[in-house]
Amino acid sequence: MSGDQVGALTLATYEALANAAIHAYLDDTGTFDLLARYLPDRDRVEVTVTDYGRWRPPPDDPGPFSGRGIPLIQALAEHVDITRSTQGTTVRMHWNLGLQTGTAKNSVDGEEDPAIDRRGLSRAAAFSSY
Amino acid sequence: MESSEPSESHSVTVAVEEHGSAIVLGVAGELDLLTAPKLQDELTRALDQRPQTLVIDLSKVEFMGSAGLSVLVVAHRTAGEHTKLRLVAHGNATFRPLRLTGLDQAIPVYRSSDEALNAE
Repeated sequence: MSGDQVGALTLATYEALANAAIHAYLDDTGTFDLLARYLPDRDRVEVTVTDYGRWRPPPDDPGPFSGRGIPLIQALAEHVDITRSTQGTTVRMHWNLGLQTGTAKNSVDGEEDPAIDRRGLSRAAAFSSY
Repeated sequence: MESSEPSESHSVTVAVEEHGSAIVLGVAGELDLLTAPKLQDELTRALDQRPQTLVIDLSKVEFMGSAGLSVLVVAHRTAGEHTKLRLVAHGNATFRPLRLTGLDQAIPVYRSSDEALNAE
């Protein structure tokens, strides 16, 4: 993986774990699973975070400290699936190694990737309410 | 090996410097769910002094999650018209999350605290 991808994977995984800790187990203790694996046939690294709690619905006014984890995960990962059920929540993310697309070429100090700028702009909506 | 101790590796420090009518907060370490409240406290203290400019220098921050971003959003809102809030950030650990969430469009980002202090 490129250094950019490693940084993106680390932060996205942290945010997924933080979400599980905050939303699934806020008033209780619990366990979650973290699975990271390389899929050679797809040349892809996949990270899955599964919790067994029930995410509380976001309050009407979530306050200033909340609501930025998922947008950040969506911007960092090349693909994200979030599945919620009464049994828990699964966040599945992946990064492609061979294809230099998405996050792979979003070097902050290097060449700008217009795709990520568009995503950055769309992410700006997450901050528009303050 | 002392840097491998949990209390050492998982922490944030905030150095406060006054430059005339400006305050520079030099943040170092990891800004996450557990450490972000410490920066929040320092920002509240600094903004209470109503400086003309408040620079948050993130260049020594090695990790910044959404909790850290949220603290910056609150500071931006609290600063209002009176205090110009400016960030120093470069590199993937800090600048990337700022850019991916669009926060760099709300708060100006510079490459050094000198640049941030001298900006118009």
